[in-house]
Amino acid sequence: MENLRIFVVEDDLVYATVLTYHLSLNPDYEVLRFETGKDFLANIHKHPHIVTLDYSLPDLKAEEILKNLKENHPEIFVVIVSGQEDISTAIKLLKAGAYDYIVKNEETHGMLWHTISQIKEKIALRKEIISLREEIGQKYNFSEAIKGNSFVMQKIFSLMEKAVKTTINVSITGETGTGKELVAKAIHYNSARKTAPFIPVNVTAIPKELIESELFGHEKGAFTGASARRIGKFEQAENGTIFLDEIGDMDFSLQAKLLRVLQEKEVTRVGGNQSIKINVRVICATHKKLLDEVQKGTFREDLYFRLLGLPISLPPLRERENDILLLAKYFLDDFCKENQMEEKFLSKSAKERLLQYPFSGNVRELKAIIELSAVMANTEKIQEEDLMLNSTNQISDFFKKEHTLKHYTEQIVNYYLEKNQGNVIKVAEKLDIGKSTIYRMLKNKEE
Amino acid sequence: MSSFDLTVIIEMGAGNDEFVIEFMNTFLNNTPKTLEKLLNYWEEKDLEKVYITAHKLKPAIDLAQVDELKEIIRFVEKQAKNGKVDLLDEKILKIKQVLEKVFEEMKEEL
Repeated sequence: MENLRIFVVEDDLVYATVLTYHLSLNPDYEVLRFETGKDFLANIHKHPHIVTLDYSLPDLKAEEILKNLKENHPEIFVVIVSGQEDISTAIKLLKAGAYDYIVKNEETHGMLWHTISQIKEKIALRKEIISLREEIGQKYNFSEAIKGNSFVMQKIFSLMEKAVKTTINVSITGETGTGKELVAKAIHYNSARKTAPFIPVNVTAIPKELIESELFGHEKGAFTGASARRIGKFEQAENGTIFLDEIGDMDFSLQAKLLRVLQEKEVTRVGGNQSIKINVRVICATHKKLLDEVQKGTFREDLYFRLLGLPISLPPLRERENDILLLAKYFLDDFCKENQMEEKFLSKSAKERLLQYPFSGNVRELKAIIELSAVMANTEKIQEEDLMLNSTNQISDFFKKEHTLKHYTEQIVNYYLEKNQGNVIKVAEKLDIGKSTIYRMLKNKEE
Repeated sequence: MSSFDLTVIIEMGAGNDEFVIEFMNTFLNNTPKTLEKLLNYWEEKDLEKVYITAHKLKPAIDLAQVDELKEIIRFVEKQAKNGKVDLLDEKILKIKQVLEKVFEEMKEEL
């Protein structure tokens, strides 16, 4: 941490000498002394971290200086040092934003020392928060958060770039597991709202009866069990972003209430009669095709247009070309690193297998498959067999290779033979083909 | 017995004599002026200013541990603040006498 710059504003030179000396005993403190309020304000550009302000200066009132500082330099900590033990003055100053109020006596320097150590800690924490926020921002940096070189993803990135520049509502559609929440987070953490909260709400995860109070909050006694006032998600997201996931499944009656909130930009807590102004950006997502829902009459058309904003449609993984391998490698490296395993890689056959697989669960499924394969593989090379691909997709998977009819026939026959312990008669019966066909096939295979 | 005690300052200096000397110099350069002001304002019976000046004198008396005056300076400050003159003549005179003694003794120590 850089030196802590402390300004001592004190017209009593005897006292100022002692105070300055005492504080400068700590080599990390850079202490400057000013005799008058005007002199101090003229040097404010030197950015003090802390100011100890004598309450009774000859030129300016401490209240005025405090007010000026709070308005123009709210980051400066102000400690009032006063000769008076006047509680009402102390309270007044503390309310006006002074960090502490210390009475001048023999113990002052000790107390001030203590207060300054506390402030030092606070400043360190403040810095940590700033750097952590930056880190989050970096984590949700588009290219960091969302991997993809495919053309379709490049188009998504350029849409996201547009989304961060304004506060336009964003609607994200895409199959399950395509990364809708990740996109929403990346938009939030790259936008001007990044220091305010990102509040995700999964509409389907909350019981129908509770969702209204969950979103808009409720007053004490609004319904049985409402024992205390509760702030809703919209209020929590003030100045930030609310992410409404699975909006397509929202109850029809609640849609009307949501529409009102979006139109009026204010919420009314359940059981309350006061409306509260809100400034919240809305990003919604759904795996359904909302327009179809509108046509079916299960989703309000007016709400649809209110929410649509900038539509981002995330492609399913199977349409993302080589992104499958890019992501597979990323997840594999990440998983191995996280679990302190030696680096693993995918064999050629495993890669081919992945490229043929339809991934109905998209990126989420890919991640699960890769992580499991890293656990299952006995060597550093992950083989085709280590990939536990979901069997419910075997049929579509089967046709993915685009073989000749002859090849398919062979595969089917082989499958049945294995299942029936090589009993040709049984297989011929089941497939309703001649035994000789099977024998011929086996013979051809041997040759 | 000395009418002041620099233990607090010496402790604070933790072996740094320069600081103790700096303290005495600052004290001798400033406190006599403040005392003079106090006497003048009292002469003019400007109680508001007597209060402010007594208030300013207080930390110096505390730091140099002029024990005889610790109570008195607070009494003067309070009386003047409340616009009362009772006993002020006597107490301010006492402040003058003791402080002048402190100045002489401190000069000798330097």
